[in-house]
Amino acid sequence: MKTRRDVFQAIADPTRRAILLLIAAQSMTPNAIAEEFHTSRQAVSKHIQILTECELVKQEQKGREIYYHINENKIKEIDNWIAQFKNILETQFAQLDKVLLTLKNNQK
Amino acid sequence: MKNNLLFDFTVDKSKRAVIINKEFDASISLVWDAFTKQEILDQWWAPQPWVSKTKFMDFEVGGRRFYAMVSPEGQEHWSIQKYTSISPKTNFKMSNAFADKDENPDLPGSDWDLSFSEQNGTTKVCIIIINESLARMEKMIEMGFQEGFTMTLNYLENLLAK
Repeated sequence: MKTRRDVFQAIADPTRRAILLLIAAQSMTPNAIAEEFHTSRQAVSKHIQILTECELVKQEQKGREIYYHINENKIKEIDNWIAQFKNILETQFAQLDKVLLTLKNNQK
Repeated sequence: MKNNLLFDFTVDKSKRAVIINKEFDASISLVWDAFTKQEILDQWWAPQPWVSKTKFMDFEVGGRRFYAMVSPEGQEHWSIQKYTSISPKTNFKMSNAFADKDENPDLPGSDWDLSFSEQNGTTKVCIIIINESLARMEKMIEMGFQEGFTMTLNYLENLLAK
């Protein structure tokens, strides 16, 4: 059985991150994307496929060409959960700072 | 209290790891106690308005801490931590899993590695959390906490470049 790819796997690769940054600026055809890289078209196409599977990029048919563009909602999701996690930690550590201060004062 | 204490937070996506470095204005003994003693842990472990309630805690290799995060409405989210390695005042490692109220773990969980070091009265704690999956991490956040920030393209670029 094929398991769905994890978004983390998708953005762990530098080429895929570069593709995301490229198409974040403007939607592009697979050929236009491949021209930006020194690797083969097949390799680039495989990267695009992985990004599509994870819904990080969406394709759109315009006439004969397929254009890829970034799925902002999906990227927002990643960003949101990382930011939320950081928020939680900040709250916890602020509490710990207070607890440590109390402990220090009690020692005196 | 000292200002400019370090707090950095990085995400290593290839390893599904979150790496946190935080400095505290206290001696290593105090900070170590704050992370390893039940009565101190319960004072800060849960982000307000949640409260941490430890049912039991055996801080020894193979020992466990069974605790709940309790919401203001009384909703309980249980977790089990199992200590896998302890070097006093230097490092400890534990596995962490959500659980039900009867101590049944909901695997997979995450692995935590905490290192402590002191310099000039400031104690630095480095925490490395490795999650089994993105879904696990999402669950960790779903537990009733606050809404996140809004995305900016700059932030996204930093995030992706890491």
